Amino acid sequence: MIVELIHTSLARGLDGGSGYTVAGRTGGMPAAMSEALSRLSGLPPAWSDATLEEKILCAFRRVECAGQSLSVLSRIAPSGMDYTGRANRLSHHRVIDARVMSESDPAALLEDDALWRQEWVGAARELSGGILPVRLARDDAPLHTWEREFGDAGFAASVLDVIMKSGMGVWLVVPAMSKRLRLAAELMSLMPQKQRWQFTFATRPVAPGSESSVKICFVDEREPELAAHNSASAWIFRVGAGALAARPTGELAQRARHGRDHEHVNANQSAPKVRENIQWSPPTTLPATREQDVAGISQTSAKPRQSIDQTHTHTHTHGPVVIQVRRVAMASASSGVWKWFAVAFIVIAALLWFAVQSGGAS
Amino acid sequence: MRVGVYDWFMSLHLSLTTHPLFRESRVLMERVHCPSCRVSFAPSEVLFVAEDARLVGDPVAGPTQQLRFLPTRFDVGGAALDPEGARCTRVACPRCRIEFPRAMIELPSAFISVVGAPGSGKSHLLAAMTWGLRRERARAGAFMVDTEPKLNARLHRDENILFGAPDSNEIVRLAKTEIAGDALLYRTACVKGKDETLPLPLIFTLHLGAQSAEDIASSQLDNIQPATHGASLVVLYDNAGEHFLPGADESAQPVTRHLSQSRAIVFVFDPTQDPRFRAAVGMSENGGANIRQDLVLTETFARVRHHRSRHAADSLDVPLILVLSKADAWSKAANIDVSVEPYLPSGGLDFAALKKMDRTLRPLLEGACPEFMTAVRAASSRVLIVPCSALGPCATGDVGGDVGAGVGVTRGAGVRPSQIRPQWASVALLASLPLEVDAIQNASLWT
Ligand SMILES: Nc1nc2c(ncn2[C@@H]2O[C@H](COP(=O)(O)OP(=O)(O)OP(=O)(O)O)[C@@H](O)[C@H]2O)c(=O)[nH]1
Ligand SMILES: [Mg+2]
Ligand SMILES: [Zn+2]
Repeated sequence: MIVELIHTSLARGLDGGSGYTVAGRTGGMPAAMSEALSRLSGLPPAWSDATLEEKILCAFRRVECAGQSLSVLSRIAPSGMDYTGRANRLSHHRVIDARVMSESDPAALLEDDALWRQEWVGAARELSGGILPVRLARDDAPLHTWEREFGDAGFAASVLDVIMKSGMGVWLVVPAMSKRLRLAAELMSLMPQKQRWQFTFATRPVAPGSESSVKICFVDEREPELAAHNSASAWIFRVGAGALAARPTGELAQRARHGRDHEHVNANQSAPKVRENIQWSPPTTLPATREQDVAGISQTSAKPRQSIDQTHTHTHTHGPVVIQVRRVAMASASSGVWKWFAVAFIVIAALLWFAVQSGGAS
Repeated sequence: MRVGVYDWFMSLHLSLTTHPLFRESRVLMERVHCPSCRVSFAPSEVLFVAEDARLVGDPVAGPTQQLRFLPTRFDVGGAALDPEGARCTRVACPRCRIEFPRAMIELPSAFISVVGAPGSGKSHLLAAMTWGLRRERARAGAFMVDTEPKLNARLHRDENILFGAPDSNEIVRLAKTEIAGDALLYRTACVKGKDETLPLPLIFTLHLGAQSAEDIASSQLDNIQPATHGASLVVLYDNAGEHFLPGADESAQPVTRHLSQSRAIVFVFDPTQDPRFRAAVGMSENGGANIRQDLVLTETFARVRHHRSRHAADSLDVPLILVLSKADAWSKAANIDVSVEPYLPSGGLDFAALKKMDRTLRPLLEGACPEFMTAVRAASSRVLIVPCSALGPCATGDVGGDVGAGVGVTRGAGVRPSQIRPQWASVALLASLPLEVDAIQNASLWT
């Protein structure tokens, strides 16, 4: 059964409100689910000369709703003018069930435009269910889009590796005008069909760490949100730099370049394993204050932390970060206590100096 | 010998008095309200934002944000040092850990909420009013500057679209305010294990009196004393209209919680979305794209009462500035003249002109939208009605929008920047500022 929701700007929505509102949803959908899906409906503003196509956000996300985890496919696209004459967007969400997961994959479903509403006509209304057709990406083809955008399809394997190692999801910066959904679909074809539903993604920036965060965002290099972050941020990746600097050589990379057909060709060559020298590790570790740095504070119980420069050689603990702070009872330089110490010292020093001077003179 | 000692002492005195250690301590506010999540805290509880590039990831603010920490080490200048020893000056709320301008712990802040139904003209009004107060120092008797430009980025985006190219004839339009997912409007924080989507405020430093911007720039910011220089912060919010619709206030998205602290509420009433108002001033039908704006107002004040734990029957004394937007579309038909702005020749609001306008608009509204005026009366005991046009008289006419079509005034047509001439745009904001609110009180303008 299809469970879907359409969110767009209407003069009158299904729940009465106007403006961005629920235009249609599968009959009988619980209110909590309707609200959770509505919250996923925003379309981030794009760069000023983005084409309609480039503004589209396709995503596969997982959200919590009433203690349950929902797998949601969304296509959010600009959609003409609304009733106030302003640019409208239409968000179409589908909640995916086990049957669909067993026979289709997320990117392939999103790639079929026929499955997604481009516009909403008429009044808000309830939708009847139906069955979602099967859509599955081929897993034996070379990754042509990766090859075209990055010069080497093998990078898809390195990206997969980086994602697996990341604790919080990554942004992959892609060249202007890349087919971002195609990149996602090709990346998925490197995985067994079942695993593809573990692999949340979005084709526009979604903030890592938010409730709707994903494992990978394909971010156009012109995205305004990219500029808001430090380009050295540990979760932002560019092909040709950092962990994606070198061309990968593993088996998966070969498959990305040549497809499955070529596997037997390489069979008797000793195919190198997936690169192991990726030197990136999740950044969410809070170093405890170093004792030797804390001038004037008595011994703290915090152990000296390992140097950050060695992060790739030691494993990180992912648990909640504990901040160990000892406040120096407000006796910071900005409070007034130091002044009086200093003034008293100077006065005494001056008196002594004066005494010595006058003693010598007499 | 004696002279040598004296010189030595004087030079010591001089170097000491100018040394950061011995500078006058800053006057801090007793309590600060977080502009995003509304919690109040003492300045000593403020967290600092780590600057060292390696300290990325915060358990509450999110994995992409710099670490927030309670400082234990400071340099001689009083700046906090992060665990890696970098100097930190940016501060964040101890609860939601969203960054806010440091000036909030040094200057008093006035929170002003801009409220209204979807499409009523809030975003246009905000862009026009802030743009006006950036420029019209002499006329308005006050001016504003961004407290921290980086944090007002989304307003700059709107101002640039409307006012960035004043000679341009290319048609532009502001986007509808998103309800979620716009990183310039909202931030998600994981507070006590639960995700909350919180609004990012727009924060300005307001200087009353026609003191010049150069004076302010040349005086050391450190030395500005709130009382003597009349500086304070103005915290504004631009919500999506959908957030004010009945039933839209959720714990997961507490985006209208700022109503609880508002010094004044600017309610944007769009007369062109009211069928009876349209009829009363002889405008044509707009195809039923109307909204019950009285319900939006009632819902807003119900939330104010709720957040302030006030009894349902209490009349609130939160000043309500009722802005009748898009005056260019209806003022002529309603016989209202908005071409002369209500400012005194010497600068500052002309209360007599405000009062006159209020007296003209009131019967118009009472006649056309009695249910709305009933809601207004029940909402607040202090109401001031002002008209406003964010775009101005020339903006509609020849861009193909049919004047008098209301919401469809610029339906799909947008506006040419060269023709934008805001009228009465900054008045609502000026009238809601702390000093003015009291002055208006004395002028017995509130009714
Ligand atoms: N004629 C005229 N039209 C205006 C004026 N201000 C806004 N509008 C139009 O009114 C519509 C809504 O304006 P917005 O400022 O986006 O409205 P809003 O209240 O921010 O709406 P939401 O973001 O949906 O809550 C736009 O199509 C504008 O062109 C004005 O001063 N005159
Ligand atoms: Mg808006
Ligand atoms: Zn907060």
